[in-house]
Amino acid sequence: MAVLEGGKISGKQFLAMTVLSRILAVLIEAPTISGTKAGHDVWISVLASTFMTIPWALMLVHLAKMFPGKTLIEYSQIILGPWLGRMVGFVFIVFFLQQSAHAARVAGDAYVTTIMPETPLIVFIAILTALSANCARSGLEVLARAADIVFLVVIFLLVLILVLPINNVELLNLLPVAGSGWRPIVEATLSSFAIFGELLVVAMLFPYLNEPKKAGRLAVTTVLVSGFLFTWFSIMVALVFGPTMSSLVLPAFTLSRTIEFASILERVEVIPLVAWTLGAGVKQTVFLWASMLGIAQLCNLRDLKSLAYPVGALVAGFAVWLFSTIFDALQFYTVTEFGSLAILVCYLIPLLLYIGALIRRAVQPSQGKEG
Amino acid sequence: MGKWWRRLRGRKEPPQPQDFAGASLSELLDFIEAQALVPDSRENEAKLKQAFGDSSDLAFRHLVFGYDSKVPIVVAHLDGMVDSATLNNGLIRPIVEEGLRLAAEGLDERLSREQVFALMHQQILQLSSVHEMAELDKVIDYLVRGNAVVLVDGVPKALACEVKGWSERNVEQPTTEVAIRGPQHAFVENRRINTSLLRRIIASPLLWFEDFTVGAVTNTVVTVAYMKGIVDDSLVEEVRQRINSIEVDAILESGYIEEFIEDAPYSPFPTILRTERPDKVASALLEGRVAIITDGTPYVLIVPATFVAFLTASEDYYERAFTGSLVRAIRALAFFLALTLPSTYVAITNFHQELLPTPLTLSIAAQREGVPFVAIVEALFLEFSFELLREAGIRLPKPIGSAISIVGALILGEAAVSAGLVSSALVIVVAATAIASFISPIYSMSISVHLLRFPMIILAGTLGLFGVIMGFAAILIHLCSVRSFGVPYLTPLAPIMLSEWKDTMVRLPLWQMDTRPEALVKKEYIRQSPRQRPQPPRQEDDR
Repeated sequence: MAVLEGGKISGKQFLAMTVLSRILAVLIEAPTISGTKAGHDVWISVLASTFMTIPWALMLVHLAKMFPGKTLIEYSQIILGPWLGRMVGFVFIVFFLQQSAHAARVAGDAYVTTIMPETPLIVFIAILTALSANCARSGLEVLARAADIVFLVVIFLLVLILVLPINNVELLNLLPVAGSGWRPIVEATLSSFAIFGELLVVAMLFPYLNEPKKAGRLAVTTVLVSGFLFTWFSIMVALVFGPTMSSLVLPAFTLSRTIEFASILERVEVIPLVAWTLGAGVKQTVFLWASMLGIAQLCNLRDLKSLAYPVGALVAGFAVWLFSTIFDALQFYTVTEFGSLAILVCYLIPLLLYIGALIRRAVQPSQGKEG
Repeated sequence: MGKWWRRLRGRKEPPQPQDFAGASLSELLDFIEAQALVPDSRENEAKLKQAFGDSSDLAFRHLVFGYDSKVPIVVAHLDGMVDSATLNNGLIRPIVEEGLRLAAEGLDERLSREQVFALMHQQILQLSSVHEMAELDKVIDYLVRGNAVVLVDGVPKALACEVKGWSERNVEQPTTEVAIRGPQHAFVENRRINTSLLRRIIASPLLWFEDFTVGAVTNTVVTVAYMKGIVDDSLVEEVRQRINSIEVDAILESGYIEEFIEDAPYSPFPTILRTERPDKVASALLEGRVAIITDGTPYVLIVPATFVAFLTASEDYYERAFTGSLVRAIRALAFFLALTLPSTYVAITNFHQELLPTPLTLSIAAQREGVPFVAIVEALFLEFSFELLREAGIRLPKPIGSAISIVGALILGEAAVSAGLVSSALVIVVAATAIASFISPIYSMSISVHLLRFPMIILAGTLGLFGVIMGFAAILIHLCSVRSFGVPYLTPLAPIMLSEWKDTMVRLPLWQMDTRPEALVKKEYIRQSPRQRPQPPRQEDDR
């Protein structure tokens, strides 16, 4: 049987891809966690949810170790049997597609709302998707190498955004801690926890690590690094804007507008925009690749490359039609919308799979390892 | 070696010898190849004359060996390809004198013609390189490479003697890769001089040369050089295979080889490094790369070549580490600027005036007030005229060159602005870009940047900053997908190899570069002993 994806990625590339996939959520969501009233206390929720995510990441790692060399789609078919497994696999693929589409949509919307209001959204989405499909078509290794470079650029830009507003910081803005009670904080924690569910894509990447033994450490590092960025950003926005932060639509832009540095860096809105586009591009491509791989494995296809443009077109379509306005796209991450979906797809189903795999291993100890 | 044209024309067997009249090139080459030498030296001479069409530079000298036995001997050479002093002193004189001496002693009659031939091969010819052969095409091959051929009557064999000597350019200073500090010699057209330049830098038996003959008509010799023991053997094998699979009539420059063996033929970026500096080739060989020396051109190819190698000059290693690092960083920045500066200007003036500080926006707007075109037309016009100027500057005879630069500077710089065709801000941008684009030490990389600027400007003019970012991302993805002889083009930037960054955007001191490039070398990874930081002895407190 022909190998669908022959590429291997290093630990660093894995980190770059997964952390970059989280950048989008960090830039859009971190500061406000839309739909909750946690306000300036959001950073507590983010920090808490980061640590809540670690056991889940380790569960995914253990699941992958029980089925070495198999992706999420493949082992769900082994655990649940061909029919139920395929249905679950289908759900995962739809989730990946939707994530990919959401990334494209948010990136496109960012341009429409900030610097190019007269260009139709579809232009941005079409170009982003064409590039991303092209990259996914070239294979995982190319994607990983691109992510490697983009990672450096984006981290540099992020640090710029997160450090330069330092002269607008008002330390008292963080007080009072939990001023409106703990309930909003708990809600925001759940919401943030749900958003972490997009890291489910690691289950598609594990089989392609060149050092599978490091999977556990890498998964935890991904969660911690993205959680750290998430937290830092929330704190920064809270320090600069204080109680008004909940009403910001694109906090990253608003934050960068406050930057004034030696009177040469005055208009740096473009920095978060670049970071955003690159992050969204990598996220879109990673999830596009994951859905391509999933579809190929679900339907027993022999060729991954020819899927890139059709699936890319599907993503572009989703991106245009899934959301009606930018607020719709941004609100997507709230507990009621994405949250319920993420809790089901990213947490409940994998948990069931894990229990299934454990039972399966207990019942048939010899076959469990062969997988 | 099976000739590839037989396969292309569907012929299995070489054709039977026929008349020369009306035959095509491949038929003639096949015909010559099918011929063997005969005992009669006159007939051999006639065959040579037939093959060369009695060309005026084909010269024959008829000698007689001995006095009585009269073994006729024919010496053939191509006039102008041989050194006549060597030919006379090392070949013709010994034959005549030895023949007469043997005749005086009465020994010549006892010798058979085969013995004369053997004697000639082993003793008489006072030349360093004498080869024996029996095929006509081999004789011709040696003749066209500046050998003299000795035919002894009655023996169906020939002796090819190396007496080559033609006018040759001397080893001079490099013209395209100038260095302030470092060896001041460059490769020349002669392959043998080029290998000797390398051998003089690397005086080691493990510098291995392998010859290939490419080009059915030109028969160009291509030499592959590598350091045995450092180079990855599979890389050498890959180079061998790629060179052997070239089936063309002519190789006129190493660029021909490059186009036939490169990994990404449709990429705007070169994936094979070419250089005319022997020290650069030597350093590449010591890093485990392979050099391809083509006869007839001073440009040597180096594979595999990574993107970073195109931003590297050998001088970076000769000056101190700080100087080298500064220059490296400037080059990387210049590459980025050359690619994005005009397009960013177009994007900002066309779409995002708000991104500039207000005074600057006002000043640019004031300049552009009288300009009738949109920024993209303006930029394309100016970039195009710059390209014209650049090309004209290269091709023009030197005395006119200065006129062009004056006219170009005046018309493009001053007159175009005062005529209101372009804004002066754009002239500054284009000029800065032009300077930045030539900072790459390798000209082929500069050209890639020139090429890519135009689509970038068009993207910027249509999609604004989004277009610039997307164009840059597309270039990035492309660069990530390209490999050069198995090595990812962006190594060590992507995949990130932090240990290799010692020699990328910065250049660490030489005593810290203890290892060879990880991506290239499998065997001899360590190149020097560690911890060699120079430490001057402490001043003794001896007052």
